[in-house]
Amino acid sequence: MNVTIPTLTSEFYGASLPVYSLCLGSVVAMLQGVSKRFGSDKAVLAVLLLSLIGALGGVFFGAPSVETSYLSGGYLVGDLGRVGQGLILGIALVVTLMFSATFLRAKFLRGEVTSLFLMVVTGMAVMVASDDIITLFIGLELSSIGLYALVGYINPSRRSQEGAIKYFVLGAFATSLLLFGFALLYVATGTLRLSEMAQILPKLLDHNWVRLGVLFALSGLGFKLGLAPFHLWAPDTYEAAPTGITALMATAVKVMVLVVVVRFFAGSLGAVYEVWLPATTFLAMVSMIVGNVMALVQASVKRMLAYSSVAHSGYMAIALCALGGTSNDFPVAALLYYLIGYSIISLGAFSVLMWLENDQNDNLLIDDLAGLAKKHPWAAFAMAVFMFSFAGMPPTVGFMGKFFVFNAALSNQLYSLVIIGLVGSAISLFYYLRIIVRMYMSEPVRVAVALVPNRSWLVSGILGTAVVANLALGTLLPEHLLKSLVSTSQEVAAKKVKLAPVAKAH
Amino acid sequence: MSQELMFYATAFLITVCSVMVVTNRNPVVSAIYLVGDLFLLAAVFASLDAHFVAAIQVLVYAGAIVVLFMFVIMLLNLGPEGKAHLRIPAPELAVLVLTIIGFTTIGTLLLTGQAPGVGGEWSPEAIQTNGGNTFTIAMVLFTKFIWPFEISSILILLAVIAAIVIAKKDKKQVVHD
Repeated sequence: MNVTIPTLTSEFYGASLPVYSLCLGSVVAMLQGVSKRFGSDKAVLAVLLLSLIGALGGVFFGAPSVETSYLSGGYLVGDLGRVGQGLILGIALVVTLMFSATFLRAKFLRGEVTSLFLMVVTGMAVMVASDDIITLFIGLELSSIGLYALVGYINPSRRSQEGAIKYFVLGAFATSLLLFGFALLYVATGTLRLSEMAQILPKLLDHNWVRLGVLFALSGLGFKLGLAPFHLWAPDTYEAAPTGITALMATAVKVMVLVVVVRFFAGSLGAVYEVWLPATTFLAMVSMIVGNVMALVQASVKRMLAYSSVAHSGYMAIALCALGGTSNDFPVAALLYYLIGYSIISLGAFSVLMWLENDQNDNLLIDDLAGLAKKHPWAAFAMAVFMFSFAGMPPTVGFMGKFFVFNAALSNQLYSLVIIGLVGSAISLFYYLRIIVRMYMSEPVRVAVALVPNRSWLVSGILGTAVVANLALGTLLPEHLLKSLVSTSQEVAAKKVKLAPVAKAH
Repeated sequence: MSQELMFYATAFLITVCSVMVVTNRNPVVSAIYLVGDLFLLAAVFASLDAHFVAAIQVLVYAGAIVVLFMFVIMLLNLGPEGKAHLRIPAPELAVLVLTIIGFTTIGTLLLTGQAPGVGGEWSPEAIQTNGGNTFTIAMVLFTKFIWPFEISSILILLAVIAAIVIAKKDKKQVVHD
């Protein structure tokens, strides 16, 4: 028989260094979990940081210059995969540092927890760099199952365990939908590879199996993104999880799913545009309305941010709707720009919350922020910048992101989506400004903000970087970033996948 | 034709067994129906010429996993549940009706189409000439699908760690509120 034996070149090892580094880190961390001698929090933190930084190094220096597919589509890395992996690893790094500087330090820096954390990140890094439905699915499960455990385990309480169970049950249901959709697409097209699907699907435009497969896959992915009406788990789980894990769910999970959705929609499913456009439009509209309206009435900051993340998923889905049009470059670039901006803002806002939380109060209410500006003016200033940015006020990255996304939608004549998006942004101003008003114009009701942790230089560094990046991307550099993202998206559109060398044996 | 008939008979029995698994009040009986379920599924695999998968299905699921279920049931000493009144509230009834309508629609939509895609490279004949199911699966698994295979080993490691971490008693940690 003909066996194609994959040759593992040094180029492959360079390209897959992120995954190897994360796997190695997670195994070492697992062993640290049972070791008395090497299991101190400093040692665990060192392994965690080394593994993440090694992976980031792999992303920047190891990846090939042309999008290359290794191991028959299992590992596909190019500019898009690199943007996804880089963003995910950066988020993981910030979350790690924030955990290490705040009150959950001792609970997070345990071998078994960091091992789970690194495996979650591994799953994300695998998923954004896959051209193969099986690998994609395993990556998704790796990150989801790890997150179910992390939500409930780091700081166990009845509330966090309830959130974990909800996330688990609904997540398992969504996974089965997704898998059913993938199975239908596989049966319809006869291939597991996304790039091959792209060539077969145009012949099957009005086939029921393809339609159902696309819709099921979209529902499953929509669940992971927290798009309404699949968002019901989000507020409970965001509120229940330790805030660092909430930040990871709000940012890295969205990055992971959206990179895959871009590859899926712009590449493979581009031909069946008519099938997914109405569904995605519906999801985007409902998400923007439900997210923004429900966020108005929340008392807990994390719950409010959860609904706001539903609304932001809706804005990103607008860019998805613009994908099937004449040119994909600009919508993809706009989406990635929005995603980068959203990640920075979210991480910043959740970092402020993490810094303010303590053992007695790990779920801050909006009232708890009252008078923050007097007590901690710089933290309040940072939070205010993030809130303005969420709301999409110039000169922040949030404004430029919305500007690009709406622009992409307008050039594809998606007027109703843009109108709902604008109305939603107007509504959102109310609840974002409410936080700013609370911080600057109220007297402190409860002093939730008493603790100033000893590692506050680290926190100030992270918050400062987030604020500077936010304003810089919003004012000086948007064209620059957009240009490089357009070149990324041209790669997706052109689908020029270079095949790694394989040796044929007997 | 006879193959089709056999498939429908097996599918019917699988449905019956699955319903019994969730409706039976005695967990041990439920688990035994689950064994029947998995055996019948193995029969479906066998009728599709996937003998290796059928054998693995019996060995792993019917053999190992359900036995573990039994151990857990016995260790927890679960008896039959008390009889609850079988009254379905209106919203749940609506959901049930909608689910049935949805499944029927999906089923009819699926049945109206033939599999349109190109067949894979491994037809039953190709597998025969290649040297059988086991050989072919091994060859494909360790060459073409080596990457997902390796990643799934991490998935299993993750599941093990997560299960231990959730189940273990930690004296230092107190579950508050």
